[in-house]
Amino acid sequence: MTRARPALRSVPWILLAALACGHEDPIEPGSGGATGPFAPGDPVRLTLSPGYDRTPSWLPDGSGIIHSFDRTQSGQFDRCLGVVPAGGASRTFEFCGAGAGSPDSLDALEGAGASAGGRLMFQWSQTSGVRTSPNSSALGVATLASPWDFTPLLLMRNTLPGGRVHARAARVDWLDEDRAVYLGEDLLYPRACSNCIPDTIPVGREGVLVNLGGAAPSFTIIPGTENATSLAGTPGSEQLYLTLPLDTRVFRLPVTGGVPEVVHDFGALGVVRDVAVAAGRLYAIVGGRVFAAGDPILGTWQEDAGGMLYVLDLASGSATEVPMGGDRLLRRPYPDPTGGTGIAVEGYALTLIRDDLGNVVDSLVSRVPDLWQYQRPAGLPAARGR
Amino acid sequence: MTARRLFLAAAFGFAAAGPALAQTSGAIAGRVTDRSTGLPLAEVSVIVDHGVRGDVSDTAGRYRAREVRSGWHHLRAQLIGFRPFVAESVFVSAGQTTTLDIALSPVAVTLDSLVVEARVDPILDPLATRSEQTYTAEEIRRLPISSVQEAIALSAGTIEGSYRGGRVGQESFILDGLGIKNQLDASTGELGLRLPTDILTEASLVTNGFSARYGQAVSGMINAVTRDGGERWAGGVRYETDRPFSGAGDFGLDRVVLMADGPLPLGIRAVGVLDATARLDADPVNAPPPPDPRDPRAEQDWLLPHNAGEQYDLAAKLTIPLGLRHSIRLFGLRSIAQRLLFDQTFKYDTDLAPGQRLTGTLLSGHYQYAAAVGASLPLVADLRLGWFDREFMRGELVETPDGRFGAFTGERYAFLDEDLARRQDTAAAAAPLPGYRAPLYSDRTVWGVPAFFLGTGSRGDLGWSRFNELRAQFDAALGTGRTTDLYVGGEVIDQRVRTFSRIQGWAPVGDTVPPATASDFSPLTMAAYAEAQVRVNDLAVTAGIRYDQFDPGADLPGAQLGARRRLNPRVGVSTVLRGATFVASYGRFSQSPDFQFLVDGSFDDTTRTGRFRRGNPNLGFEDSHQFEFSLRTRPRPLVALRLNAYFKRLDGMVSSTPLGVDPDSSIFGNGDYGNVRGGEVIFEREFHRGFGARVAYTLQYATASSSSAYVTTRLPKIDPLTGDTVFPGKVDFPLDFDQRHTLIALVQGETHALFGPALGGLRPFAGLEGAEIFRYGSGLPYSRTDASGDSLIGPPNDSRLPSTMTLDALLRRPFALGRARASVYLDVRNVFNRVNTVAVRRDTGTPNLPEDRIAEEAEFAYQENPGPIPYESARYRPWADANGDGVIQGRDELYPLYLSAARDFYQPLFAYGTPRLLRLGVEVAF
Repeated sequence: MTRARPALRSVPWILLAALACGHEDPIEPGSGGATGPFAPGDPVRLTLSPGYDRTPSWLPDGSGIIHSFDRTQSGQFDRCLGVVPAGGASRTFEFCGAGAGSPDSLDALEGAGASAGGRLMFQWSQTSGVRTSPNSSALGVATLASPWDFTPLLLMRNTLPGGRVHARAARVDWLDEDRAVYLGEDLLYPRACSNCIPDTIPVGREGVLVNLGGAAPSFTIIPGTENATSLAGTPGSEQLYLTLPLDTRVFRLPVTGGVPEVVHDFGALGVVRDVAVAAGRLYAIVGGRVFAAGDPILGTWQEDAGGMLYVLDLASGSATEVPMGGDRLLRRPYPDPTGGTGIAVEGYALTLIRDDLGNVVDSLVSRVPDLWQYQRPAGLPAARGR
Repeated sequence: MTARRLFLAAAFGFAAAGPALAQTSGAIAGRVTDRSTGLPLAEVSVIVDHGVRGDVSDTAGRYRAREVRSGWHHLRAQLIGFRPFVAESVFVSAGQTTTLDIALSPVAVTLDSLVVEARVDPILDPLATRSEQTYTAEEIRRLPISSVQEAIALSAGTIEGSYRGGRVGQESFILDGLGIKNQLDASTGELGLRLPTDILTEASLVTNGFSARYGQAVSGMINAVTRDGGERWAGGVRYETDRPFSGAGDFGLDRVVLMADGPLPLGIRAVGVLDATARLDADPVNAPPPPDPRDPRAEQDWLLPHNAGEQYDLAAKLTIPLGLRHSIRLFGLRSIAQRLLFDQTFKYDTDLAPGQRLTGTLLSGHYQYAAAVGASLPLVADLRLGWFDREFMRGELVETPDGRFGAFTGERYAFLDEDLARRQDTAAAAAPLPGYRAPLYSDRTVWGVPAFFLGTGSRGDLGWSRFNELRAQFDAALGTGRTTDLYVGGEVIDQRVRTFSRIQGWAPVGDTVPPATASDFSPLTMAAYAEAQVRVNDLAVTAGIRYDQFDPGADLPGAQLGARRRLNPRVGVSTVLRGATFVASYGRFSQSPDFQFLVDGSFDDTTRTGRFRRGNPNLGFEDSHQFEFSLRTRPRPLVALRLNAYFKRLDGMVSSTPLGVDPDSSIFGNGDYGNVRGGEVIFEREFHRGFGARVAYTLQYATASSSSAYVTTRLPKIDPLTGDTVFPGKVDFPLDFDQRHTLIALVQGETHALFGPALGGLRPFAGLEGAEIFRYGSGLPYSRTDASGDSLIGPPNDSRLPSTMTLDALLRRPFALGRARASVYLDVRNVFNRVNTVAVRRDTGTPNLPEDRIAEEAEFAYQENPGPIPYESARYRPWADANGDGVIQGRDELYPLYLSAARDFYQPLFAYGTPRLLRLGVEVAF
């Protein structure tokens, strides 16, 4: 055996070389979703779903837009929360509530707002059977990392001291890590006829200040916000902005409430609503298809099918219209909170009906919105009116 | 014959000696004569290991040194007026008698040490009544096998975990004479301990009437004997890997073995072994590549993700001599096995597939007293104490651990809500378990569509169990003359069982989710036995009786019967008939039912075995009666032939019987029974002049009313006319392990030192050691069902799988490495990469789902979710958007995705056996 030794000296080195080899790791399967927008440009269409894509709210770090969407491809038409990356791509986050655990109920997750610290406040409603209104609904907090750890804070519908019935929180704006504001809305279900399917009409009641900093969460009606059609707060500011039904003016008041003061009047441009504020600019929907409606029993309300998007420089008071870029009307804009130029907004397709001469004789506005991302214009002339 | 050859010859041996010999020890027996006259010599002192054991020859010159521990021994025979006879290396195998005839020369001078010329002849030894197949550590090292379990699987009558056709879990494990059994769930779970082969002296399988000393088994007994530390410090290291075999040869294997043994102060000897193995794919399959190149498995079709495993086994032993008459052995074994479990449903969200951890700890102490050589009452008494703890955990992992070196993670798996399971907090578990999320259709698949594959959350199963026992075992062997030995003893086992299970943990307990189940109770098991062996010339009779008792304990809810008792007689007769040895044996055996059957359990399986099963705390023993006739002969000096015929009757097997009218609920009972009959032919050519072979063939018929406690005894059918549930009559069907023909051929060879051409002073083919194992098994039975899987078509187990065949080989080249001995070897399993079908779909009888059925499944999935997939959805796949409108919608665009997903999902991965596995190893002993 010793004679064999010289030639076999290399054997240990062969084994050492083997040790140096690395194993081939199993493939990690991954998502095959899109990494960019469907069609680049301005504006960018963020969602193409035939279902509802609503209530956009930009994430505090500017990376994406959280919104509600219809889970059309699941066979269960839950309204889920999703995050679509800024600029457009496949959603990076989806949350549809209990999901497979409650196949018989419809989960609707809406009005979400995320804080810089990752807190996520939204309203979670569950409906079963053929009920018009939810069986149960609550406003609560979770985190973006684990939205299923949802802690209900306030049952909806409710009547807070000094306020009227609130059935939903229109949109949550965080002021800091503990405080947030939302516009409490009641939901009306008018029918055009006795056999017609009821419509769902939100009617603004009062603004509510949420404080999670105490031993127990508190919900306080903000005086001066009565009947608001939209309410906006912004992190680091103690000022709120609001609009009123069929009014062309934007108002401002302290978070603690008070008498609203006029910030801007869009005047002939039309009724203003859906305000949002970021980086010293106010964004709002102005004009378009908005009108008063009413019911002998339910009363009157402002009905809104969308309008044009304007940017108001709060320092100079100049308002600029954002070019529409297509046949659509817009609602509920939400600007990039980091100061970027992006504005997420609900877009409702506008179909113009023309006569044989090409004149527009009528128009139809879709009731199913998609999300769009517009860019804040630079250097455009000031608004035509005040 | 050199010592090594003798060793190998012994290694090829089978049974010898009486059935009552302790399973850690054998005997040395023979006749002492005067070399000058040939006459017998009386009063010759035969001393084993310097006085630890021995005997004094009688007037016929016969001696018998009893209870000699398995392994190599020193023997000295002396008588005044004669030259002492010294044998340095006498090998004794557990349960066998080494025959050593001694001729003394009448000169009073001590001879030099010599190697014993006598050898074990288990074939013709009329004192051996047991059917035993033994594998020494050296043989395991030389064969392409890596564990005790693989060695035992080479035995005739062994089919996977079944011994002679019985159910899984009907065997017991004896380690150094101490019984160990996973009494909680032996029928479905592993023992939890893996003995490193490098601490073994030998391992064997006993399949017929084993000694009354052993119980807790009805089909077989696996006996392992560990070695003591040596008189000089020695050690070794071994490393195996498949890293050099890139591509389909790389399964991510790494195995490291470290061993050391030697003396400590005060005469104490120590031995310790660490055996660590990890593989990126711990359960590789020889499945065909995926049908679609977009399938991520197409890139590495041999390697399944999230299927890694690692195992650590640490064994240590101290042998403490207390003079010549007393000794103490302390032994510890700790095994940790962790697995990631591939689940096709979570193929694209592998982190949500389950993980599993099984840990086992054994601590034992063994005190032995042996009377002095020549004592009037040659008594050997053993007192053993053993603590065995086994913990099992399965569920969703907090985080999938990364391998640090290959598949070695070096960390303990952490499971979601592990503490809750350990606390057995069923009240807290009524709510959704923290951290668990409901599974939804995955959006990470190649196909995008919501079908077949799940993500977001796991299945939500959480299972935990802990079983431990403190066992005290006393054995005494008493020689009452040259012809009779008596054996008495008993054991007391104090056990504790704790279990917890919860399914669908993401949902609250309610109508569709059964409650969490938990149990905590303390059974007590006891046994006693007496046995005698009488030898008259060439006739040996062994008779014994064993008393078994188990009591589930008063703390088990619903227990009413108290202790259950059995008396089990066992008898064996052997004699010599015309140059052959004939053995007949009978034994009755009892084992406690798995304790898991005593308590409620909830299951989330898709077969008709019930989602909630009621335990039965009043279950009784499971029993068997075994008869065997064996004929052993040696037609040529190096050739042995054994013929065994056996019949085994199984009774009182645990069964599931329907509970009420709910077909998905049942209760356990002792309602199953079965019969196994068969024959074994074992041909052996002992290793001599570089060649040895063994061929074992088994013909077997195994039938029973059911093969598993979980299969409802009377499988219901739905009457197509009335819609009623029909329970068919109770008859025997083929057992799951009814393998009619089994053939195992083992060949070993070795080239001599001058073999082959010399190249530059080197003979590369000289001293090569090679071994091959060929296995053939006819098809195992299975049951056909209709497409729903609910109703059987035809009797149970009426169909058969194809036969399977493998060839394994090992080639080793020893060499010197300085002063150390070393070798490099190549171990190849399934050399020809044969694709063995080990399972089929019960509804089709094939591994694959036919294309028309796949289309049906795809259509069903499409109809369930026909909705469009918009661009912003993570499910959107641009290549599937035929018209490029940003939405995948309509049948033309969606259905092909569902069809591809169905083909992907129904790939029959685990229908196939293991592929070719290679391992390159190097071993250094110093």
